Amino acid sequence: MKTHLHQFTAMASPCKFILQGEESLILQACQQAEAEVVRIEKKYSRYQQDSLLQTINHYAGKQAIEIDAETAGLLNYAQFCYQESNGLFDISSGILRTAWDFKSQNLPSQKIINKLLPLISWPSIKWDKNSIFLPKKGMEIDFGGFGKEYAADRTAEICQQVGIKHGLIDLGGDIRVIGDKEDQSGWAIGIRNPKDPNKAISTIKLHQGALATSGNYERFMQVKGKHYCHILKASTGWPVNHWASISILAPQCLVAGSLATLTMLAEKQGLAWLEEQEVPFLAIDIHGQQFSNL
Amino acid sequence: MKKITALSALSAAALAIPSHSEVAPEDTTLSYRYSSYQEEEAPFERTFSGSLERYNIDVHQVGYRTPIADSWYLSSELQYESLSGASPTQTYKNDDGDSVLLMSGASIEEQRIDIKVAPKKYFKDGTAGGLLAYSTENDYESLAIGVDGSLEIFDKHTTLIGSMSLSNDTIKPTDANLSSARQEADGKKKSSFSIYEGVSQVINKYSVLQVGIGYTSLSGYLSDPYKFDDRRPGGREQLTLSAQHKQFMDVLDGAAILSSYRYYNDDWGVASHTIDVQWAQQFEISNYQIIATPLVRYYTQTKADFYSLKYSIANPLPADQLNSSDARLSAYGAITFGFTSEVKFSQWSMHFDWQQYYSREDLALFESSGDETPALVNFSTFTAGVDYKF
Repeated sequence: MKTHLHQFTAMASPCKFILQGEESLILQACQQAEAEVVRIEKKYSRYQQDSLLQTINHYAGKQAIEIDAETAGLLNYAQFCYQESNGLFDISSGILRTAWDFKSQNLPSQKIINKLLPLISWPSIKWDKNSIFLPKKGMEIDFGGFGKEYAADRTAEICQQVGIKHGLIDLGGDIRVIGDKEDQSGWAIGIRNPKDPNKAISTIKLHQGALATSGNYERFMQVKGKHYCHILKASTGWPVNHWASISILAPQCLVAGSLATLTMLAEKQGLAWLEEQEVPFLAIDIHGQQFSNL
Repeated sequence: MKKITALSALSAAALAIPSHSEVAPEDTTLSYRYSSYQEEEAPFERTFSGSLERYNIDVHQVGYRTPIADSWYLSSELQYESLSGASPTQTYKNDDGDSVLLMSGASIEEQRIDIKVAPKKYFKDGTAGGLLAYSTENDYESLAIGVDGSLEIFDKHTTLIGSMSLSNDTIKPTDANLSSARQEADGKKKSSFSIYEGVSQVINKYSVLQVGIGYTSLSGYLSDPYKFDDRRPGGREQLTLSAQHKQFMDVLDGAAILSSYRYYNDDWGVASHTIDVQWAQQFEISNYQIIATPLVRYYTQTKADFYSLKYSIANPLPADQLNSSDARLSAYGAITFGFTSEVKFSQWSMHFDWQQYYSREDLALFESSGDETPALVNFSTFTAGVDYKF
C-alpha cells in the first residue's frame, strides 16, 4: 500500500491530501477532490468578481439573488452560528476588513468602525431557500469563517466516494480524516504553539473525524505592545483578546472550526461553554495557560 | 432529556447542507469525429439490375460547446457528409416466389451539410434549452426548431423532462426529368411536429429509471421519389413509449448496466419493439480513465399496410393506390452488436466506436412471412474522435 502526498495552493492556503491505497484510486481522488476545492473557492470567493458570493454582494440594496440548495444550506448553517454565538459570529462582518489592515501596524479609527457597524446585520438579511437579499448598499457577506472547513468535509466525502479508505485532508490547517491510517496508528497532527507557530505545542493522534484550530497568530498586529488579531467581534468591530488558540475535535471539520471560532469570540465565557459541548479540545489563553480535556 | 448543545445544533445544520446541484458546465469543449458508414453489397443472386454497391458515407463532425453568459451554455455542431453508392428502387416477387431487387444504376455522389445550434439555460431546479438545425444536400433541405426543458422535484430525486420540435423540409429530386414521380415530388414539402414527455426517477443511490411517451406527426410528401410505384399517405402519426434503466455496480473501477425498451406504433400499420442492453465498464490505469461499453440491440417491426412486392411494371397499379416495396416498411428484425470506448487523459478525451448491424426478414418476431426482402441491408459504422476541454 502506497502513501501519496498531494500538495497544492487554494483558498490562499497550502493544501495537502495524504492518501493511502491503490495508486489509480488515489490519482482519481486527488483530481476530483482538488477540483472540488477549486469549485467551492470559485463559487464563494470574495476575491473573484464573478463568484456567486460577489454577485450577492454586488446586488446589495438593489435586488435579491437566486441561490441554490448548497448556498441555502450554508446560510442556514450561518444562522445557527449566529444564534449559538449570540450574534458575535456574523457572516456580514467581513466588511470590517476594510478598516483593519494588519500589515499596516496602524489601528483603525473608531470613526471608520462606527461607519461600518450599521452594515453588519445578519438579522436584517432576507433569505430563504431560493434567494437572498442584502437590504443595504455596501453590505457584504462572506463564508471566510467556515469555507475552508466546509471544503475539507466535502473533499473528504469525495475521496470516500471514490473508494479511499485511509487518508487525511488538510486545507491550511483545517483537517478532516477520511479514514484511519492503514496500520490504525492514527494520523499524528501537531497543534501550533501560538507563541511560536512553526513549532508544535502538542501532538495528537487522530483516528477519525476532524480537527480545526482558531488562533490569534494567523493574522495580527502588535500596536503599543498589545496584540490585535483578525478575529473581530461583530458587535464592536474590535478583536477578541482572551484566547491564543482553540483546537477542537469533532466529527465534521465545519463544526470543529465553528466551535473553535465561537469559543474565541466568547472570550472568557468560552471555556465553560466549550466544556458543555463535550467535545475534545485544547485551549490556550494569551498568557500561555492550557486548558484541555484531551 | 439531553440539552441541545451548540455541537448538536451545528452538526445537524452542517449535515443538512446538500451537495451542489446540476450546474452549467464551465468548460469549453472542442470536438472532432470522423465516422465511416459502410453498407454491405446487395445480394448478387437476387439483384436483377443496377449496381450492387450500396451506400458508403463519410462523416466529418466538428462540435464546439462553451459557456456564453451567466448559467447559459451553447452547443454547436457542423457536420459534413459525403455519400456514394446506389439504392434500391424496387423489389418485386417473381413467379417462382423469389424476390427480385432492382437497384439504381450509376453510383450516386452526394454531399450534405448540417448545422446545429443549441443554447441551454441552467436554473436552480432545471434547464431550458432551444435548438435550431439546418441541413442541406442537393436534393433535400431541412430546417428544424425545438425547445426542451427539465425540472427537478422532490429533492432532485425526480426529474421531469419535456421537449417539442418542428421541422420543415423541401424535396428537390435530382434529375427530375427522369421520372414522373420525381417531377411530382419536386418542390414538395414535408413537415413534422414532435413532442416528448418523460420522468426520470432516482430509485436509489445505484439506480435510475426513466420512462417517456413521444408523439410525432408527419405530413406532406412522405413517399420516396427515387423508388418505383412508391405512394405513401400524406400523413403519419407515430407514438413511442420508452423506458430506460441505469444500474451502477461496484465492478473493478465502476460499471453500469444501461437497458432500454421502446415500443413504437404508427397509423401506417408499423409497430416495433427495441431492446437495448449496454455494459459501461470503467478502468483507471495510471492517469488514464477508460470507459468501454459493449452493446447489443434487437429490433423487430411489423410491415406497413401498403407494403407489397407486386410486380407492377407490366401491370401498372391505379395511380391512387398506396404502395411501397421499401424494405424499411417490411416485417423484419435486426440485431446490432457494438462497442464504444472513451479514453480520458487530462483535458483530452479520445473516442473509438464500432457497430455492426444485421437486418433480415426472418429475424422478425411478428408477422414474419415467407417473402424475401433482399433490400434489407447490413452495415457497419466506425467512429474515431477526440475532444479537448479548455
